[in-house]
Amino acid sequence: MSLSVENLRFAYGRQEVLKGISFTASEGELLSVLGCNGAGKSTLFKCMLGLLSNYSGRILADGQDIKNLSLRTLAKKTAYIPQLHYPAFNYSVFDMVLMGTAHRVSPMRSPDAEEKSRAWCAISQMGIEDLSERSYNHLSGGEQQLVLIARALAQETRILILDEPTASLDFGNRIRVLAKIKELAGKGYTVIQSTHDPENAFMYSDRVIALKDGRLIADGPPAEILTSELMKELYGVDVDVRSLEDDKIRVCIPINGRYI
Amino acid sequence: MKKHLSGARVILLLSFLLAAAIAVSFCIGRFSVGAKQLFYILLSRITYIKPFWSDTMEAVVFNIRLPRILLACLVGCSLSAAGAVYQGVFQNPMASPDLLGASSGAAFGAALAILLGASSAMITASAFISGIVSVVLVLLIGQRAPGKKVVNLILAGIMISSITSAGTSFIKLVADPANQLPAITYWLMGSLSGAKRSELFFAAKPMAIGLIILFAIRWRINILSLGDDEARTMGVNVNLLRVIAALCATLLTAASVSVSGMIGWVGLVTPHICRRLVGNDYRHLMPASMLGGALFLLIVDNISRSLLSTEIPIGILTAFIGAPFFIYLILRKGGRV
Repeated sequence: MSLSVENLRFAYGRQEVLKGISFTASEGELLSVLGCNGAGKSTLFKCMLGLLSNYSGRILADGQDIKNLSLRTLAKKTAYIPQLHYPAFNYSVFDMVLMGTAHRVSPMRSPDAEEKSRAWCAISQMGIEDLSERSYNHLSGGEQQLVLIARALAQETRILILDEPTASLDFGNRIRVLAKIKELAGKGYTVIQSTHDPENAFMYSDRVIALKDGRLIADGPPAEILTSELMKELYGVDVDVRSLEDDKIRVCIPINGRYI
Repeated sequence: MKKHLSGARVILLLSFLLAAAIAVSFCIGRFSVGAKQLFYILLSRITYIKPFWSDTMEAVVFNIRLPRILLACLVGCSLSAAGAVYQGVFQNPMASPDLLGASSGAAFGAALAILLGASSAMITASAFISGIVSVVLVLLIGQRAPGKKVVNLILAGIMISSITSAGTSFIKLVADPANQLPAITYWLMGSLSGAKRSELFFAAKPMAIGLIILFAIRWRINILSLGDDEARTMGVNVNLLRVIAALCATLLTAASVSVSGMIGWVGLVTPHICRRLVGNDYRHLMPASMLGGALFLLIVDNISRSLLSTEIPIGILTAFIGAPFFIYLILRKGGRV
């Protein structure tokens, strides 16, 4: 199932935030969106998720214009994994994941055995069975992120949209979560994530798009994107991009850093 | 994680406690009714039993205590359910049934009716309608305003509440200090002492509608409590669900206030006690809050009518009991409210 964005434009009042963006994420692809704060990443994501509707252009999920889909139908195609935050009330991990099945449950009903088994399935797919009884708010950031991904899997969509999934995680959890995301793309999920870490984007993504001032300034395989010129253009800082291990890894070294 | 007791078990326990409290409440009061007499008086409505009790005793049980006990249970149940719903819908643990102005709107309606010298049935009706109208106004304002819906609704609720409170103050100012002002003041303090069958019948219908719908949609309120964006991406029609939940909670609040006056704290404290007992999942929290609210208000009402020789308005007692209990909850170890 693919997700295409065609000539997407969006403005908050007079301020144009997205100025004609087009790209396609194909099935099984892990697509990373790079861009500085305020580049329009969040707005782009909100449009793709159907949270903002007064845009021009088209967004196609599985070939269907999402403007014509009800929230419930769209929830069967795309799932959202938000940035970490503490909900006002604390729920157990299992209850949290179970909420992903909402689109299957009619409004006057509570989930039954069928939904519960689907939630279990998602939990075991993420390998977090041992967390299921614990309360979500008391987990570490990395564990919370895995729970949110499990919830998206319980939603049984083929498109996953992640808003900075590794932003507030420590080094180890960042790698663990990215490995899981990569694994999901390998299983055929279409994964779109925003990130502030170009090095991780290089290592884990199949494709990278770069957003600046509401325009796409680059779209291609990570090797084409992660250059010092583009980093300078995207973030406005001088970095030396070095290639290691036959270009399997690239590191960005700030020019004003200590040893340069 | 603090392990919660099994939700089903707590609900069962609360049901037993409530049944026991109801039975005991029949016997509490100036006119003493023995347990044995009570049992046979109640049974005599089902099968014929040769009366060995006085007619007065039967009248006390059926005309005075029964309506009052049922009303205390219904009002407690409704206020507590409304509070639990508002907390989830507005993602705010401090929300209580007067959040959207239902109580202050109803108070204004009652005060106005008392000022105009209306009958007690008219006072009840006026309070109910005025409470509903206030919340509908708040919802209309909240839907029209741009930006975050939750914040807009809460702000609109505060504004409408303050307008209706000002209106109530003005009515008190112009009311006849000899009889109207005390009537208004007493009404505002909240009391179940005037419980009559007619009021019970009046309030029971909107309460039943509200309680049944909220009970049915209770699982969805979990999802709403995660926030609008997340809930919508999970396929939940957030705006519609919130309006339905708010309107049902308003039916409950306005009906409660119209028959019992302003009884604070039940709607805030009981849901929190129940959160401690069964966790935040509304599948268990909703029935637990309903039963817990009924139990809490029934016990407090028994105290209010038997502690002193004159009856203490129940609104005063709920605050005296509710607020210290809430402080205890906050101070307790791991006391995240």
